[in-house]
Amino acid sequence: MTDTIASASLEALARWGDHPCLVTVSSDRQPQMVSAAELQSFIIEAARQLAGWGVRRAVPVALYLENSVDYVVILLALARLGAVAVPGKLDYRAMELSEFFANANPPLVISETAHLPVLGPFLADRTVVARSAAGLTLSQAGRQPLEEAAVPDDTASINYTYRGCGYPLGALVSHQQYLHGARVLQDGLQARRGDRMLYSIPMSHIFTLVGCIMVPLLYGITGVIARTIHPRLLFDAIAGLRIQHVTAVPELYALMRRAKSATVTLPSLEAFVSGGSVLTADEYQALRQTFGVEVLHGYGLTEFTPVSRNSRGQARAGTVGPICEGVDCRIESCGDSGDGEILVRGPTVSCGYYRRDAETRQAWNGTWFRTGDSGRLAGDHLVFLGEIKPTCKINGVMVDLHEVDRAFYMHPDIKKASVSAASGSLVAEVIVSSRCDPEEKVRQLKAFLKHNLAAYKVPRTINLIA
Amino acid sequence: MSKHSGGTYYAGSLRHRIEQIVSRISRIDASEFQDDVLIREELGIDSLMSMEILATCEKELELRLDEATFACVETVGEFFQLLETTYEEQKAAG
Repeated sequence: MTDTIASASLEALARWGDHPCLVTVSSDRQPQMVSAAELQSFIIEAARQLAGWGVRRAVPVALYLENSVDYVVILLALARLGAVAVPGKLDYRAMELSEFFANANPPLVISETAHLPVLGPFLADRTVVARSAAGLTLSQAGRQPLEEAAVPDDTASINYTYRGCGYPLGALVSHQQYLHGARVLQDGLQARRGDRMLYSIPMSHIFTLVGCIMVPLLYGITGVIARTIHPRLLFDAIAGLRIQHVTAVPELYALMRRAKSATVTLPSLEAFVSGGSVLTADEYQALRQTFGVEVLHGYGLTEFTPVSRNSRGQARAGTVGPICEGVDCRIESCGDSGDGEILVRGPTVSCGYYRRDAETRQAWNGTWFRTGDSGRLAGDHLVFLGEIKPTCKINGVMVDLHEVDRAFYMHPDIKKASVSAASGSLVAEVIVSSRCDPEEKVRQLKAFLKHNLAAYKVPRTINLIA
Repeated sequence: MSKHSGGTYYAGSLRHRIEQIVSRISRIDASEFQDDVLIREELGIDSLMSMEILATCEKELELRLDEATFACVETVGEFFQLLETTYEEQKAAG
């Protein structure tokens, strides 16, 4: 039988050793440790509990959860049952939630108790499980039996991403993609059993799911879940827990670099694994100089992670590393420069977007997946040049510029709106139909957008054009 | 920057110093830091930027701020009040 992320993880946990499996670090508590044996029993118990609520093979289950041991447990319990995890972002608001629930139509939702009011309008007829410090409890019974999704057998999760359509697309991600992604990331990192990896990026991201949950679990590395991005607390955790590896986005590394004083010493630290957005050659050098560690930057997408990654001892500034084993990559070049769209294919690349046939046909050219990103090859290293699709990254999170445009047009006073990205933040140029105080109108528009979109998608600057 | 020989800021100069830090990181003119302005919604300061402001204030003013208390702060005025109170308490405690 083919491995799933559950079977592979449980097998790894069975031969773990004495070191902790997961550690949770937060600003208000001592580190909480979970052993491999405890995690195994948590997964089995959660699978039993979820099965009791009707979860079974191919049932899509939405997850609106904070980073926690429970997230890992639930993800693997769902995989054990053959169900399909559908991670949602806690930042999503009315417009994104509307698209998410219409497309995924999950019959069961597992959410932080405190987050349920945000999801409330979308929960009718669904089974709702609330997560709190006390565990999982059935909050609302929905229709039974839970409806299955029409997805390929090997589907582990549906992960939402963007490619400039103006709405999110659910990429079908297979168990084999998780396992392959973890293997090639570990090949690059070369972590030892018993090493510790710290991370704080949201678990709903594919980079976290593969690089921070699966890599440590499958290779005997202790995963340290930092429920903070405060640099002082991260430095304390790295020093106190003798952490060797950190996985984060370039923006967080830059923050840590600027916050580090000469008195902070981190002798255990060996490598920064980086992804999610652009790491410039200058920032790469600055990180190397400040922390004295290897910086392993890579490139991947929700549809396929990772495409390329730098390896220990061979990392280069300004590149996203060599193409990973098991991946074909080519540049569809328009001219002599060698620059062009990055196309990838391989046996574990996502097979399409859930219930989005037209968008799937547009993104896949036969077996080749069109990334919508521009790059070029420099020797055997890939250089990421930017996005061709109308998207951008804000602190490592993808923003679809047309989705923000759409949100503006939902406001009755907007005649025209155009959103662009500049210097890492969003700028909107809008024409409004009513005469009003400009400052008050901008304030109203920001409040309106905040109700409809994740806060990081609300343009920092809104220019009203007469 | 006015700072007396003991390394302690007077109330007015402390606020000025904090304004400089926030302005430098956020690239927002300090004239916009009115007490009733919402930090996240109106100034557009996101979680990463607010953490940088927190870390920089800790580093440059030599104090320690409670992350959970900081997360509850909504307006510019509440932020300055938190920093001024924390600064005074921690200086008094030596």
